[in-house]
Amino acid sequence: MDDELLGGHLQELRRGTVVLACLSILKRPGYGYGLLEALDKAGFAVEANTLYPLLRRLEKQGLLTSSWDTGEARPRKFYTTSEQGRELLEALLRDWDSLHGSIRQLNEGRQS
Amino acid sequence: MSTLTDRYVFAALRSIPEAQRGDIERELRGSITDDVEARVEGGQPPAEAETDVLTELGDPARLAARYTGRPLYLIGPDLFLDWWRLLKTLLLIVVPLAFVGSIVVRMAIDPGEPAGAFGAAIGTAVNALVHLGFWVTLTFGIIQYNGTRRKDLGLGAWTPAMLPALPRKAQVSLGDTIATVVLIAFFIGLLLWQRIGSLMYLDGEPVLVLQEALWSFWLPYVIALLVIEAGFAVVLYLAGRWTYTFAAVNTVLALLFMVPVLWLLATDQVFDWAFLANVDWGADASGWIAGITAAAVLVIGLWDIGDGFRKAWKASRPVPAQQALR
Repeated sequence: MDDELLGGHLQELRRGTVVLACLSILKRPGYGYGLLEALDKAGFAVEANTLYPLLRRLEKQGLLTSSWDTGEARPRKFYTTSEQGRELLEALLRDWDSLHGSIRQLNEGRQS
Repeated sequence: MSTLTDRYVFAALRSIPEAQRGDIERELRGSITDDVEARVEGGQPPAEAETDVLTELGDPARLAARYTGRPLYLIGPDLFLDWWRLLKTLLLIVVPLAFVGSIVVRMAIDPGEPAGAFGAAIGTAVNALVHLGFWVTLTFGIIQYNGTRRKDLGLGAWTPAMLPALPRKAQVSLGDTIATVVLIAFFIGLLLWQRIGSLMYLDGEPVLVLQEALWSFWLPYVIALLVIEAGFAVVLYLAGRWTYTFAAVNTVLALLFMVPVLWLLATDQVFDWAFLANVDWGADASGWIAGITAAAVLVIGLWDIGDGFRKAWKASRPVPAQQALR
C-alpha cells in the first residue's frame, strides 16, 4: 500500500474527530499543552499550531468556556466543555455511532 | 525568557488584532514553555528543545492566520471561477480593441511611422493585458480578504440553464481571429500612411495613389468600417460559431464596403492617376487598374458574403455530441 495515499485518506477521515476528542477530554478542565499530550496519548496526532487556534475558535463558538488559573507557578488558561458543547458532543457522538453502524453494515453486507 | 521565543511571539502577534493580543500572548508563551520544559525533563538541552518546539509550531504568520481565521490565499475556491471568467472576458474584449485603437490613433496623428505605430500598438495591448490582470485580481483579492462571499455580491448559484451550447465545431479559431484583427489594423495603418507615405516610391518621393479628396469623407468611413469589422471578428470568436444572424451582419458589412467603393471606382474618384505619369504601363493603364480593382472588390466581397452563409449552414446542421467534442 502506498504510504502517502493511505496517509492522505487517514488525515481526511480524522479531520473532524479532533473536535470530538477535545470536547470529550475537556469535560474535565484542561490547558493547551496538557490537552496536546492527552490527545497524543489517545492516538490523535494533532499539531500544536492547529490545536491552539482550534481551542480559541471553539471558545468563540460557545462550546468551551475558559478561565485563567494563576495559582500555579505559571498562569494557565483552562478550558472546559460548556453546556452547549456537551449538547453538540452528544449530537456528534450519535452521528458517529450511526456512521459506524452504516459502514459496518455496508461491509458485512458485501461479504455475505 | 530566551530571545528566540520572544522573537517568535512578537512575529506571531504582529498580525493579530490588538484586542486579542494580550490573551493570546500569555497563552502562547505558557504553551511554549510547557512544551520546552517537558522536553528538558526528557533529557534534551534547553536551547535545542526550544528550537524544536518553535520549529514544530511553524511559520508564525501561518499560526497568526489560524488564530484570526484569515485565509492564506489570494482568491479562494468560492470566487475563483468568477475571477477567471471575468478576466478572460475582459481580456478578449479590451486587448484587441486597445491594439486596433492604438494603431488608428497613432496613424491618424503621425501617419509617417507605420512601424512605430505597430510597435506602440503592441505596447498598448501588453499594457492593457497587464493592467487588467493586476486590477481585476487586486479587486477580487480585496473582496476575498474582507471575507465577502459570492452570495453577498449578488452572484447567483450555478444552474443547468447556464450550460453553454455544445460547440458544433470549433469553427472560429483564436489564431484566425487574431490574424483577422492584425490584418485589419495593418490595412488601417496602410490607409492612414497614405496621407504622407506609400508602398511605392519614385525618385525618393512617395507615390500617393489615392485621391486627396477621399479624406473628407470616404477614407474615414472605410476606416470606421474596418474597426467595426475587427469588433465583429472578436464577437464571432466569443460566440464560437457562425449563425445566419452573423452571416446577415457580415453581408451588411460587406455591402457597406462594396457598394460605395464600386461606385467610387466607377465615377473615377479613387485613384490619383498622377502617378501613372512616372511609369510606363501603357495608355489605358488607368482603365485596367480600375477594372481589376473593381473586379477584386466584387469577387472578394461576394465570396465573403457566400462564405458567411456557407459556414452558418454548416454550423446549423446537427452534429452528434461525440463528434463535436473531438
